[in-house]
Amino acid sequence: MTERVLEISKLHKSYGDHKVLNGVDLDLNGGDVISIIGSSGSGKTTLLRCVNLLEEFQEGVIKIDGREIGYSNSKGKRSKVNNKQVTKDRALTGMVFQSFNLFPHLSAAENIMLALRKVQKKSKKESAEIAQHWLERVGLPDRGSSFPGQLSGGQQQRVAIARAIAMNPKLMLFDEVTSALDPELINEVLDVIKSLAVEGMTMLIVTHEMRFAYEVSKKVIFMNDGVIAEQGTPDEIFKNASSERLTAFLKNTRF
Amino acid sequence: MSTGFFNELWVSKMMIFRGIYMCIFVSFTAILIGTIIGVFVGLALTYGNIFTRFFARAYVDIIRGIPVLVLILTIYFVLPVIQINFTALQAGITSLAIFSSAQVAEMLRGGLQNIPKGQTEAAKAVGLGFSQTFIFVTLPQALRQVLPTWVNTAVETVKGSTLISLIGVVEITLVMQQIIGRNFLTMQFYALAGLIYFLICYSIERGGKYVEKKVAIK
Repeated sequence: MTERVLEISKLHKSYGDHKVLNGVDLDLNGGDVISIIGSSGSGKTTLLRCVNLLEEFQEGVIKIDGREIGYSNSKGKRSKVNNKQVTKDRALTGMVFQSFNLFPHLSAAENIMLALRKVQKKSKKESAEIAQHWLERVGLPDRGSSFPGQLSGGQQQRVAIARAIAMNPKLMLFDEVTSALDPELINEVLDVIKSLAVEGMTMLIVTHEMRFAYEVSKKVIFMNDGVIAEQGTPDEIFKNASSERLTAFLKNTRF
Repeated sequence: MSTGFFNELWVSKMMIFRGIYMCIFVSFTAILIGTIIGVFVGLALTYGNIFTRFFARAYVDIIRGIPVLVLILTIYFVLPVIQINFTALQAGITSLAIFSSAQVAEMLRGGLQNIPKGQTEAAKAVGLGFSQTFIFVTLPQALRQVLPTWVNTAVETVKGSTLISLIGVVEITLVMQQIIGRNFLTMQFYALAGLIYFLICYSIERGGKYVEKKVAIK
């Protein structure tokens, strides 16, 4: 039996009166690849940001490897854990952003090495080796000394993936990672993610690339108005959509 | 006439060198102290809670709203009333340091707030803590942004240092006045003063440009 990596239960999140997540339950086992689709404003990015603890949430529990992250519950009282623990909990997941967010003053290799050295306290030599390993893995073996400004969007995003995964997270989170890319650069990034999926990386992917979601996922989730409106295998979602909302959504998207 | 000038120049060369030394010493010390204070005030402005932000904001706004000369005169002539006695030199350095600290604080706040939110989020996402994020991600970027304005403040401080001649610190301006008082070569020696100030400020600007180029984000 594969172990449960991520367990989200009854997740509620609102900005003031505006409810963004309205009771989301979701489980991921080791090696699972789950894609989240849905129109903008449906809460899918917020869900991902909650798992990475970039957003606070008012109700619900997120567990990684069976341990609650971000909050603690003792005697029925829920409280935020301290900043140090938040930082530790956050390191369990790796996040890749829509806008890459590479550090512009550091080279590609230094981008990957920074947290290896400062967070995991690895030596410079070991960090450099790990960085080189992942740069090769994302198809950029000789761009380690390039700065983000000297790389194309697709290359930057691949470095960002390498930076996140080099930290050896339990779970990778991808937040619309191809939305800011020119069409001809999308595939090089998706291919990297696919190859990680094949290797058994556990991943939660928010995407607008329907064909990619269809090909890569074990399960697809359709979010609408802050809840999981439908979920199933890629075939169930894309070929046999039953609900009216999902059908309408799929009709308006490219496949 | 011109031989008279060169003769006078030769006679007063040590005075002039001492004046230049004093100007550079005062400006350098003031910029150094001002930058250190300014970084802390800038941090308080950017990341502080509502109280520290309020006091930092008040400090910056008040200092920036007061002419440097008034600051100098206040520190030299008014502080003794509350038993704080500075020598003219200390008062000069202190007032120029306070002046530059407010500029540095404001520019650092701007630099830090200009850094896209995605940068701190990415730093958090790879597991960096607050101070690590500041030291390795936001500060290096903010410093690059701030450098041209900081050089400008350094130049303003050098030019502001002329004002401390008024409380009796013998820097370039006062040296020139003393020399002129002796030989009445008004135009020549004020022109010389202008030239010296220009050379100091121009060197700072060139140096700044050089560093800026060196550390530019590619």
